[in-house]
Amino acid sequence: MNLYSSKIVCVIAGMILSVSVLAADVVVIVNKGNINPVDKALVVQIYTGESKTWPDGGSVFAIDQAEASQIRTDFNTSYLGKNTSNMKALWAQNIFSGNALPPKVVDPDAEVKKMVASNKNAIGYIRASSVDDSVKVVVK
Amino acid sequence: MQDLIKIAGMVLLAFCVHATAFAIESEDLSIHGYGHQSYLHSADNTYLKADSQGTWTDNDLALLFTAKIDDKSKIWMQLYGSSDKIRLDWAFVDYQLSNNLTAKVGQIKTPIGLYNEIRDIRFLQVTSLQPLMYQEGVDIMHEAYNGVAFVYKHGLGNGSLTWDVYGGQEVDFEGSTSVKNRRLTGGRVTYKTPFNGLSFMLSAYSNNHQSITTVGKVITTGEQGAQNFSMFSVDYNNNDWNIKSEYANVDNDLTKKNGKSYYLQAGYTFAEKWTPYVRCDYITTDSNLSSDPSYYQRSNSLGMGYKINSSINMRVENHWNNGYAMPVASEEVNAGTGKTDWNMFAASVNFIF
Repeated sequence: MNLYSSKIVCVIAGMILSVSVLAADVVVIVNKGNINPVDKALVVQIYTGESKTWPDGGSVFAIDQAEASQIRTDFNTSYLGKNTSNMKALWAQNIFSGNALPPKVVDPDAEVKKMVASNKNAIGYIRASSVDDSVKVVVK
Repeated sequence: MQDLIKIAGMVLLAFCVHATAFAIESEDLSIHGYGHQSYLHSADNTYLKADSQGTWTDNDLALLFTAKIDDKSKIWMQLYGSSDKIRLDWAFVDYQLSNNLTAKVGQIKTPIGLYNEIRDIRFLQVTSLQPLMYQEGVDIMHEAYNGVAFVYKHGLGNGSLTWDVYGGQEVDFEGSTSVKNRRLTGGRVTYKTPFNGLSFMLSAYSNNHQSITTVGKVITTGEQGAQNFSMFSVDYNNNDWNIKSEYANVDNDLTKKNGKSYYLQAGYTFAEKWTPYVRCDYITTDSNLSSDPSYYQRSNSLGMGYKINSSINMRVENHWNNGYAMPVASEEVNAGTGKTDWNMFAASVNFIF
């Protein structure tokens, strides 16, 4: 492998690694009393308006972070596969079709944790470095 | 020069709206809205009130109010206003019966195809003018009805299926003087595939109505008949590509007419701001007269959209038309008197909040 090819491989590996780091950096949290099984598929359904209830019948209280925040961009990209602009359009379609309302916007991580810890049906996302024992991590 | 001044005016409006536009949300009440301002110019046939002088009057604004009753139910209400009307667009209560099943009761937007529930929300569409089948003149996409709907969603492998079933009485926003009592039943099934952004839809309705003759204040009822409609839709929408195609067929027992329409539309967004797009569109309002330009229209469109921010966008587009079924259907041109090959220019500023 010549020097040019090696550089290309390193750049591609770096890009893959950076995406993986981004995805691992944002974790999804729920209330410690929430015993519902949560996987990435359910997270996608909740944050796209497809699912409004937990398997146990409780109404989901979903929390988003500020529209312009980097963590929201990272969450949309790594979990939902969409950029923030397209997510806004998706939620506008849900709203104006009378199907679903968007998640409540709360930030920063400390406020998200506080809200999730105080609401059994809440779900949110924060940086992995912000996790403490007031909430439960369900997807990372 | 006048066209440039009008377009500059729209850009200025966009920045004024951006300075003030915001959604209002509290724990139990939220307010959202949308609007647009369009400029239309038709070189030969008058359509959508546009002629060779153009028109600046196509604009609207809507406010959507939502109030939470409890964890399982909400009230939704939308008020709509334009330059010539203000009305209650829809207002209903929904109730989450189970994890998968929701019921709605009230005045509800009719779930047909990809665009019907959002056909006035230009911001969410790729183009300034909707596909021909959705335009008001042909009266096949009924906007709303008073009745009941059930929405059932469930997984299907790695995708999902959503079933919409509804029934009631169509809301006659235009105050028809030729039909009444439009009882409507219909359904739509949407399959979201495991392939991100790709979905398919089948929509159908049957609309049983009665013909009337209005002379002054005297209304005479006539025959009853059905309008039967079916449509197949394909949608591919990821971060960059937005590709849509639909095929619709409608049979009207009262008029003994069959109509068909189909389109293919594609837009590609680059630099998260610019979206060039194309659309090939066809409609015939009477299949038996589909070689008569009064009853068919082919429309090829080319345009460019620009996203000012996540709440405001602008578009300019040109439509090359062959046939003038739409101006005839909207009663702006008499059959046999229009120009077969004609162009239409549209520009719009669109926003949501």
